[in-house]
Amino acid sequence: MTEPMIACQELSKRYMLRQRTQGNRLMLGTALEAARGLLGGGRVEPDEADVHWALRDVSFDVMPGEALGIIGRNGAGKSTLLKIISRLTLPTSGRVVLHGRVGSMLEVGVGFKQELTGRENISLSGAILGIPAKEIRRKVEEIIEFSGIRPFIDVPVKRYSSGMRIRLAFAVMTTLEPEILLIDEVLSVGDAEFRRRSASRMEELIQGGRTVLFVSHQREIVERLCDRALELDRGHLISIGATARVVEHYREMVQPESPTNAYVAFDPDPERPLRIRAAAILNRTGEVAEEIEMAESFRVRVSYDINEDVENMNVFCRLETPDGLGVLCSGDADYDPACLGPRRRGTYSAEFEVDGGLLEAGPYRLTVSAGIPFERIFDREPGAVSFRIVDRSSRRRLWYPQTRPGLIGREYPWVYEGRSPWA
Amino acid sequence: MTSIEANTSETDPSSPGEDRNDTGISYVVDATRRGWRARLSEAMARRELLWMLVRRDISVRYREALLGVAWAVIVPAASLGVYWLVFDVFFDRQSTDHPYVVFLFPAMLAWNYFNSSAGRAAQALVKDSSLLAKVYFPRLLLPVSNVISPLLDTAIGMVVLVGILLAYRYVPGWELLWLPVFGVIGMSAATGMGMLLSSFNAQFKDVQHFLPIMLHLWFFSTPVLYSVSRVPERFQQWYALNPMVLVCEGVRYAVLGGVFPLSASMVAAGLFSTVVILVVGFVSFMRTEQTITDVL
Repeated sequence: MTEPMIACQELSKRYMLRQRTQGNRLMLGTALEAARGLLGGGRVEPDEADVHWALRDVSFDVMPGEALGIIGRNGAGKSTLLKIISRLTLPTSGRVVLHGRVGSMLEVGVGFKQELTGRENISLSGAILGIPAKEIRRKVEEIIEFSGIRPFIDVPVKRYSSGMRIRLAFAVMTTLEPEILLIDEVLSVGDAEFRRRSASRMEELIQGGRTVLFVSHQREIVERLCDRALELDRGHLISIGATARVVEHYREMVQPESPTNAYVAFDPDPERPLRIRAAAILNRTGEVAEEIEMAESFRVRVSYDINEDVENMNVFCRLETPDGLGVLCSGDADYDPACLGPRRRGTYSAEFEVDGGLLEAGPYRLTVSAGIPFERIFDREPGAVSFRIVDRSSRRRLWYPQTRPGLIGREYPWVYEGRSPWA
Repeated sequence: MTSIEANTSETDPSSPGEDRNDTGISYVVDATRRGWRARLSEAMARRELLWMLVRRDISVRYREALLGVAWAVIVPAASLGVYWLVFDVFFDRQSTDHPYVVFLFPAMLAWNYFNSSAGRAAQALVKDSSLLAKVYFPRLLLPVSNVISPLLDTAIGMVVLVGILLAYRYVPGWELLWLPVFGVIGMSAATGMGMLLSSFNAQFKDVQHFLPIMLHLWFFSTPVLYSVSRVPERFQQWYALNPMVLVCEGVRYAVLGGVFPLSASMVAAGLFSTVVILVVGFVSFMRTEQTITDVL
């Protein structure tokens, strides 16, 4: 039985919310509290309300050569966990047993010294990580090569862009080969080309037997790089196991965070030439619906007031994902340019239908706006309504119980030329 | 905790990394603070990093200055000029056994070293807080490197001192052999103050306000501009509790020879307070060290 490379045993970390260093009123309060503690005999146990448990009883093992992804929302305790493993802070209770040299990339960069050149910072970082000077000298060229910033290597780091700094930091960290590599959100920075190269470098390292602990918000990268993942929520270990399962569990956990509201009404506003009054998502039977069955069509309805005579305008809907990625746009003059003509005052209501089976299951929202294109916005309601497309009836659902990435959910029949493999 | 451990990839025993037991360092992180002996020896083992930090300090300090290392000559020369003008020319010529410049400079070098090393070491943790937040290394190396790097300035000052001595046709005697002894005492006092001030500074930024005035007062409580014989006899024993009294008078004696001006009990007082500062500084630093990133 091989020993784990990292063994975390009932790790807990408590932070005091009212740190004494924060009070600067001559710290009288602290003195009083301390005196009370002394008189009361022994230590004052902190009030539960003043305490924040960043981690609570977290136990897990990481085997040699394994890549473990850590996922969780902001404040779940991911970074605290890496901080404890990299010995930057002591746990309140519990322990970590490590076998090997730890290299960590917490946040961005490895604490480069601004005034020193890139080359000098390579040696300094190496020395800080405890790597013998000889080994660093041997690897310098490789580091410079991978970082892709050779023309700037003898320039002080303060002249670097943040992207260059990260490239260099990543190159240092992955080339100097610590046995245990802790990576915190680093692969989400830099340009696309660097992200691609660093992700494949990570794959190489993992395949080369490096033990990696990897924190990311990006579930796709965790899914790609890690065989196992663990999920933290408010300091507790929620689940640990095969990445696909943990990520799915996390997705389900996170989703209730985006509330749905398929109908919204707005007060009239005579000051504006045009005012959006209501927006709604209607299902096939014409009812307001927060959940739309993937295979069925749905309708988007918009009502608005025209308070002044207007022309050359259109009313425009943008369907987007909760993080703002546009999925589908439609304006009421798209189909017929004659609609750009003068519009009379009054209250109007219109709708359009989106065909069933088009969109992948997941949360969506709708932004409604009205105005003269390229010239003027009369009214705009970002994310006015939100709804969810659910898949309860697609055929693949019968055997594939998870949602898939992607925005288009259409199912396509595959056609085999000649012989099919089932015959 | 919903365990969904099922069908987890069993780690392949033939995978690389199985030789880790030869190279691997076993290390335990837990809530109990490690003893100071373990941490001290860990810091000692990282000499390579210490030199790297010293080199970094020095190159960062002079790199971006137009005149570079020349400042290590200009600054002491300028203050020497000012002190000579004020205390030798404007005020009455002091009754010292030596020309005032020769009398002043050795002690001034010693004081300048203490002043800049304790002052820089006090800032060591705060200045490098971004580094401390990201990588673990023995934190003790930071104040210690700041005590070592000003030695370069001092060495350059020594060259100037040799020039002054030559100009005044002074040749140091066998007393010069004492110089390293007083140097070590001075470095110990600076290290102790550096550890004490930097650990306080990490928690209470008040140190930054208090530091300049403290060093200013300390300067005037040290026999740099005057000799210890000007201090009234009945205060001398208390006065000697300032370790820099021993260091400055000692360096002056080592360079210029003559009669050593401190009594045995004054020397003992200076040594005693040096040890106290070193121990208190070390204890205070060791207490702060492990929680530093929670505080900074």
